[in-house]
Amino acid sequence: MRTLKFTLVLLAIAALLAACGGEAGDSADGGSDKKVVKVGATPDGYPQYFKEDGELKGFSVDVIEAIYDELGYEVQWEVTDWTGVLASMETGKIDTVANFAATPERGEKYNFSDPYYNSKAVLATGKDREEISFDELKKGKIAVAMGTNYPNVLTTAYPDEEFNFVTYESADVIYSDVGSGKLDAFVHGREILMAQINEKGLPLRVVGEPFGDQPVALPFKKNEEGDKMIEEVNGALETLRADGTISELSEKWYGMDLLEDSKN
Amino acid sequence: MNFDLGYMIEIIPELLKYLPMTLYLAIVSMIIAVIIGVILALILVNKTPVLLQIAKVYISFFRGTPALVQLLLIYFGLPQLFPGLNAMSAATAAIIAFSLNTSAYLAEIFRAGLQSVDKGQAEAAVSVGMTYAQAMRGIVIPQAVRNAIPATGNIFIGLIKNSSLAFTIGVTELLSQGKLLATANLRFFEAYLAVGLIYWALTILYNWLQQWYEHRIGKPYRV
Repeated sequence: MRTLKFTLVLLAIAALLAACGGEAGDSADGGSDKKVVKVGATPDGYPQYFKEDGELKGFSVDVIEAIYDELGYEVQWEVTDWTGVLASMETGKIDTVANFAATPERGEKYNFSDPYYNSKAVLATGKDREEISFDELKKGKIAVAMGTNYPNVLTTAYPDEEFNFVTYESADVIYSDVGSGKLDAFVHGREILMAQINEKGLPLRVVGEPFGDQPVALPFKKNEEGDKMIEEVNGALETLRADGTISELSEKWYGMDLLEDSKN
Repeated sequence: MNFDLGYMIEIIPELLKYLPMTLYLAIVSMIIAVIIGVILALILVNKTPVLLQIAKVYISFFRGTPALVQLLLIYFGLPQLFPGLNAMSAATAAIIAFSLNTSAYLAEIFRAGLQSVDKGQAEAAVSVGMTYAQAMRGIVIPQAVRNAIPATGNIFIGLIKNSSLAFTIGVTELLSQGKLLATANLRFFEAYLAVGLIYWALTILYNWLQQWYEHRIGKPYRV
């Protein structure tokens, strides 16, 4: 029967695809005996965490791999969008998350390692927009990338003011919406935004001074295993800070030492 | 806006590496969905007691809730109830979710296809000594298939693109590869447009296949 033949051809194609699809999906599994830690990450973009030539690169990638190299683990990256990162953490499909803001609210759910850097927040507006003061700008519509904690940093820095936040699923549309003036401002991490403006030519400029202080750390489940991991990670962080590895990585990606900076 | 056409063309080979994953998700899900859809449609048409009620709840649930919610329930929710399912890969979970979701839509399309063939034809076939199965296979289904193909094609084209939801649970496919490539140099528009062109080309290719098939099964209707 003709239909049957057609179905068989489809099935054959599917089987073929299953073979190659399967390979593509499992490429992360190495054959080594090293202990594996699964780290969830959502594409934050250059220079924090990005994909180039088929590899993950960036500051958070380097720091986390350095930490776990120190501890003798192999890092297995699990790349999903923000919803997936949160759900994977909750259900234990990943052990920890890269570039995760350590906030008191999140602290009710997870325990944190020591921060591996502190982020300050800035407000940016469109490059071609006329001069505007920081105080004026923060009264406008402010874009927020989902999963970032910078709006809270802003509200904490100015507790008496009402803000008009607009949340986006990811930063990509924000660049063009704020760049073109549909929205007034973008509240984001100083380091990542400065690096992107300077090196990738985003159509934005920073207005006023950086504010707030947002520690970024590795979250772990509140259980014995998580506590043990935090202890190990903190030990490794201590070593990496002392021997200058973290400062070096920070210089490499941001052109400044975030550790020195956050002491001030 | 400074649009970099060169970059857009440059990344197409990088994107095409993930085309097999998109096709794998879409085609395998579609095949499973067609099988489930046919079973559901037969239940709906024959009004088999008990099964009919189950089928109705199934269709109502999978058409009535967002595919993303179903995906999350299957990948993160089910292993909470059945710890054995924790070993399920993300791609497998995505295929299960897409199959179940799509089958609910297909069931309605197939039901309409079956009902578009006049009941008298099956009755006539049975009256000349064919069994019910023979009447379905030889008379009703070939006509129903012809009627259901255009709508089924729509669903499949939709599925190809919706398979990008799988990124939520960590499957990198065409669209998410575009997003990820753009994280390096923030050229999102170039990446998204390149992705769009690949999906479009894919749809055109599929459309040719469907036209060829429609032409084939339409032969008896042309004089």
